[in-house]
Order: sequence, then C-alpha cells, then structure tokens
Amino acid sequence: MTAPASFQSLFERVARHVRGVEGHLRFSAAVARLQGSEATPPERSFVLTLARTILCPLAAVGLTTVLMALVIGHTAFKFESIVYVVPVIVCAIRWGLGAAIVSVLASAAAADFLFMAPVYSFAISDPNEIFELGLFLFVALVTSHLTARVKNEVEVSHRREREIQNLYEFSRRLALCSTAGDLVEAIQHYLSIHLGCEAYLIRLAPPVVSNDKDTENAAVPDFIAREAKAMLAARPPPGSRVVTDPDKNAPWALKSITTTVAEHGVLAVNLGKYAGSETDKLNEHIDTLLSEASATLTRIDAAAALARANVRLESEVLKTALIGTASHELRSPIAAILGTASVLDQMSALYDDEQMRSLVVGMRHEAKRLDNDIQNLLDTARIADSGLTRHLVWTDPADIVTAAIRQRSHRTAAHKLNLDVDPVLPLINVDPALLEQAMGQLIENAVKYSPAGSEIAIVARAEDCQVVLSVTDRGAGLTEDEAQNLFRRSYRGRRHVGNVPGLGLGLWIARIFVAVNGGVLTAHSCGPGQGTIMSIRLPVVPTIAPELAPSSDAQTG
Amino acid sequence: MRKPANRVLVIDDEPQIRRFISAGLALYSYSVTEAENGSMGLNAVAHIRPDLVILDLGLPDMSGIEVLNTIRSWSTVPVIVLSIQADEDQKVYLLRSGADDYMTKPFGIAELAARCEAALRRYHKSTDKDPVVRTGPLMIDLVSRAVTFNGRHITLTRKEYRLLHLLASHLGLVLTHNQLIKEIWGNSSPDNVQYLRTLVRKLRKKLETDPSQPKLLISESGVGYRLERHAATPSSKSG
Repeated sequence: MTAPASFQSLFERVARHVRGVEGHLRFSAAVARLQGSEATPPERSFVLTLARTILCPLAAVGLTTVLMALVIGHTAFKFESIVYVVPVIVCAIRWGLGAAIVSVLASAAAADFLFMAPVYSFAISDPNEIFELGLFLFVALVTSHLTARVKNEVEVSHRREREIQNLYEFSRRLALCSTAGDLVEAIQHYLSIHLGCEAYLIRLAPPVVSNDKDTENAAVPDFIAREAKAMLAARPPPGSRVVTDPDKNAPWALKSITTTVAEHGVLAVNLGKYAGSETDKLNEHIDTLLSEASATLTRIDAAAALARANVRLESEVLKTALIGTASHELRSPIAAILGTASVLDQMSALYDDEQMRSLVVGMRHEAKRLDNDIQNLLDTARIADSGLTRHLVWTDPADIVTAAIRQRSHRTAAHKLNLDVDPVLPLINVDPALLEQAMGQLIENAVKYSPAGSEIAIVARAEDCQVVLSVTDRGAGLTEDEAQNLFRRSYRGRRHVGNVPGLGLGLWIARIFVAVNGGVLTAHSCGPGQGTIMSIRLPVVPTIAPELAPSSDAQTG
Repeated sequence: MRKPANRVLVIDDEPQIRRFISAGLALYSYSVTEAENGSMGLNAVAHIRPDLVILDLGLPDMSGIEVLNTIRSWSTVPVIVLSIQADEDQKVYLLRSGADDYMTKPFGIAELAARCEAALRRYHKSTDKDPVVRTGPLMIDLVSRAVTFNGRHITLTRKEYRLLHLLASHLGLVLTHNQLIKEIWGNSSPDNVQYLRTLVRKLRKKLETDPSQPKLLISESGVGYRLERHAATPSSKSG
C-alpha cells in the first residue's frame, strides 16, 4: 500500500480505532484467503457473534456495576441509571445495536436488582424509581440506536474511501501497463487483495501478448475457458452471465470486456461467498473496474498498432525514395540508348541492311518500353510521397487526345487507330500533362491487350456536363476478377502474367491522375475476348462562352 | 550543304549523350564541340563563339539555369535546354529566362535537329531576305500577309492572322500561352487562355486537313503552341 497520507483522514483513523476487534478479524480473514487457506469456518463466526452481542455487553455492564458498588460504598450515590448509559454507548460504538440493546437490558436489570429498593429484588417500591428506570430505558435505547447509526455511517464512508483509494491505485497501475499481460496481473491483483476474489482474464486470440509472462490462460479452469469461448463466439455477445463451478459449486461471474474498437476478452470472477445484495455491489464494482480496464486495453492495442504502422511507414518512405532515385538514375542511360538508336536509324550505312535496321528498331522498341516502366515507377514515387501537384490550365480536350496519341505513336503503328473527336468540345480546367499520361496509358493498354491489326477507337465527346474520353479495343476483354481489381496497384490479370510484360502500375496511376483532375476512370467489358472500353469522365464547369469574347475580331484581307 | 557548317556547343555531363548528339548532328552538317560541365561550357561559349548551345539542366558543378543566366548576361546565342522530367512550370520558367526551346529526355536526333534548325532560323531571321514562311502545305507571306494552303488562298480574321504570324515567325519553336496572349490581346489575364484555345480551334479549322488531328498547330501541354516545321528534314522522317 503506497497510498498517500493525505488519504488517511483523521476521520478514518478515528473510525479504525473504534472498529477495533472486528476490523482485525476481517483483515486476518482476507489474509488467510490470500494465503490459500480455507475461509473462516461457520462455527467460529457464530462464537464470535455470540461473544460480540451477548458476552461483551454483559461484561461491560458487570464492570460498571462493580466500579459503582465500590464508589457507592463511600458516598451517597443517586445517579446509577445515568452511569449505566456509559457501557451502553461503549457497546453501541464497539459492537453495534444488538450488543447495545443487550447492555441496556442488563443495565436496567442490574440497577433494579442492586440499587433500587428493595435491594436484591427486581421489585420496585418507589414510583419515582419506576419512572427513573423507564426514562433510563428510553434514553439508553435512543442513544444506542443513534450511536450505532453513527458507527455504521463512519464504517460505510471509510469503506467508500478505501474503495476509491484502491481504484485510484488500480488506475495508476493501469497507466503503467504496456501489455495485456500487465493488465491481467493488475486486475487479478486488485480483485484478490481488495475483494478477495479469484479472477481470470480470457483474451480473444491474443497473438500480440502470447510471449508475455504466463499470467493468462495457464491456470484458467476448463469450464470457465469453455464458457468464455462460447461467450466470445456468440453474436451479439452477451454483456455478462453467471456460471457455476461443477466441482466446488461456486458461482462465477463472466463479463465481456468490450471497447468501441473491438471485443477484447472475458473476465471471470469467482463470486464465492458474496451472496444476495452483496453480489450486486460486487457486480457494480467489477463493472467500474472493467470500464477502466477496457480503456487501457484500447490504449495498449492502439499503441501496438501505432508502432506497427510506424514501421510500415518508414519502410514505405524508404522504398519510395529508392524508387525515385533509382528511376532517375536509370533514365539517363535509357535516354542515351534511345538517342543512339535514333542516330543509327538515320545512318545511311544502315539503310540498305534490312537486318541491321530491324536490330536497331528492336533496340529502340525495348528501350522505350523500359522508359515507360521507369516513368511509371517515377509516377508511383510521386504519388506515394504526395508530390503530385496540379497545374490547372483551360484545356481543349482534343489537345489531350492528340498529345496522348503522339506520345504513344511508336506503340500504335501496328493497330488501326480510329479517331472520333467532337469538334466543339467545351474547354476544361485541368492539368493537361497528367491527363495526357492517363490517356496515353489507356492507349498503351489497348495496344498491349489486343491483337496487331485490330481496331482501336478513340472517342472524345461531350455528354451532359461531362467530357468523355474513351479508348475501345477489340482485345482480351476483362474477366470478373480483372474488372474488379483492374485499378489496384500492382494488380495483373492472371491470364496475362508471363505473356504480356508489365508492372501493373499503369492503370493505377491513370486512375489517380484522372481523380486528381476531378474525373472518373472506368472500365467496361462484356467478358474475356470481348474487348474493353476505358473511359475518362471529366466534369465541365460552365463558363462564359469564349466565342463571345474577341469582339474586335475583324476579317483581314 | 547549304551554308557553312553551324557550330553547336553541347554542354552535358553524360559522355554517351554528348557522343550521340555529336554523331547525330554531324549527319545534319553541324560541327559539334562538347563540354562536360558548366564552367567548361561557359568558357567554350566565350571562346569558340558557337552558333547554338545545347544545355543540359543537370550539371555536376552548377545548375543549368545558372549557366543559362550567365550566357544571357552577355550573349544572345540560341540555347536549347535538355532535361529529364521537367514539369510545365519549369519549362515556362526556362523559356522566360531566355531559353529558345526545351527538350525532355529521351528524344530522337531528328527532333533535336529540327529544334536546332528552327532556333537558328529564328536567330538569323533579321538578316533573312525571304519574308515567306513555308511548312508542309502552308505558306505565309509575312509582308503581304497572304496565307495560302496548298496554293489556295485562306481568309483569316485579324486575331487569327496575328496568332499565325507570331507562330510562323518562330517556326518550329514553342511560344508560351502568356507570350501569345500578351501579343494578341495586350494583357495576360489567365482567363484569356480560354480565348486563346478558342482562337486556335478556329485557326485549325481553316489550316488543318483534319482539325481533330492537327499536324501544324501543335499544343505543348501546359506550356504553349508551336507551328511545326514540315518537309525540311534531310532524310526520310523518323520517330
């Protein structure tokens, strides 16, 4: 107990002093339970009760009578009945109302028998003395009742204070918990020390704490583990239930520990000798405990998740930085290869040599493919470290289409391009470079997944308040799985892995580039082998018709 | 071929890039000098007085922008800037800082040769007697303001002609949106980009065989427009 001294008020000290024997007995009983010995046998507690309520008051009254007899021997003493109030108050304070009533009756009998005429007889001759005895009985009973009540209240408030202090200590201990194992230990410690209850915590699939100290599950009795598992499996899980130990016939309260985040497990508490109304109080107590515990569990889980996320983030940042640098470094040699190939292409010495020319064309083709992959890695790095910034410009959608086609002209040579661009498309306020990339990627994909010589239709048209740019091929189409996962990073259709080269980044990048411009990229296919339609839909913000602007636009000769 | 060989200075730290530019431009009758860093490049500009500079932005000793600014402080020699992955803002900034054109790596030698020729023509235009600009089927007489397409006379509005005139006098070179807007409308409010787009669309309708697949009036995304040079390459066309 490391409770601060400020908690031990004068009030408490007085109360403890007054509580005397009973407090000591209760304390030693708790220690006995902790040490694993059996609880106090019922015969012994009966003897104690008998001693407290009958023998002690009788002794107190006897002692008072002896002292009074000694005093009366010397002086004329006429206040016996008032003196007898003293043992009554002492009994009320020490042993409660029952003992006080016994002492009242004993005092009245003693006073009547020893001090009122006729002496050594219970008969009373003087009517004044009858009145006096009646008055004494009334005063003594009222006093003992009031005193006993005060004593009770002192005890209750003391217990409350102790409970608060224990809870305070418990929550301090919870604050120091960093694993679920610590938490279990704290709960068990609390329940056993302060309530004298056996307790277990059954965690829900706790891989994070399995290497902790072996405080959990090891000693959990089978029937509790079974019930707890059933509780955790139930949907919706019950808040609490009571089960009975089949061997010892003792009731156990099982309570599920849940937080807003998740279910954490079940706490099992042996209700043991707590019975009747005390069970309710205990339940209430445990509920308080659990709300503290579940908050701590949430914190522990959150801390663990945070730690894991941090590790992940660090490795992600590292990977992205690596990709960025590597891609940049790789681009220079590729620029040199492509440039050299373009020079070779123009060398007259190679013109006549068909074989040499095809070699140069092959080299250029592969280098371009590599360059495209590196561009995708660079874009991925840009997106990942959120280096993606838009440069919004009013753009003619037709220019986006034209630029994308030019960008991929080396790839589309073997296909039949069919271009259909609406001549009066509205202007859109977008980042044209990003959209060109996205559109270029759609063309690239159409080329990759459709046979040479087949048609690729590129359409730009206005639709409601949108500009739609679409690329339609007559190629491999999409399976259900592909249609669902198409735009995920690093996804590649199972059919194409190994046949068609690629990193699975292109469409993911395209989707983000379109989204950054407020648009939507969608894919539609009637199934495998049925071709694919990829569409970029961009919102059109209505503006003043630019046609109206150049008013001084006269004809020239 | 036509004139004494033009001297081109290539400033790039990658030896293989310099090598292919040298070999490639030699095919187009340029005589090429190489410099492997910024200070050597500046030295060469001062001493050999090249007709054209090709400048890489990523140099080991100083930034390409710095080299460009230093050259511009005492010379008007045409400069074409090379870079790996320049964004649109950077391109516009380079053009404003005095670069005549830019190229993003990787590029083919034919593209580079076309840009070189365009930059040189533009530089020597003042001494050029011929006021007629020809590209593909298009002919623009800058003096009589006559425009013909396949020999057929084309009627243009004043603004359309102004735009075409600007692009034709920078044939093959990019002009930024702002440059064009300022020249045509006299101010550079960003809203005017919309007017410029509309104007280009109208001009394309009159000049392009297929306005949806322009071959002459080329948009450089986020930067500006270029009137493409056609039928001026020495050999067959390439990628």
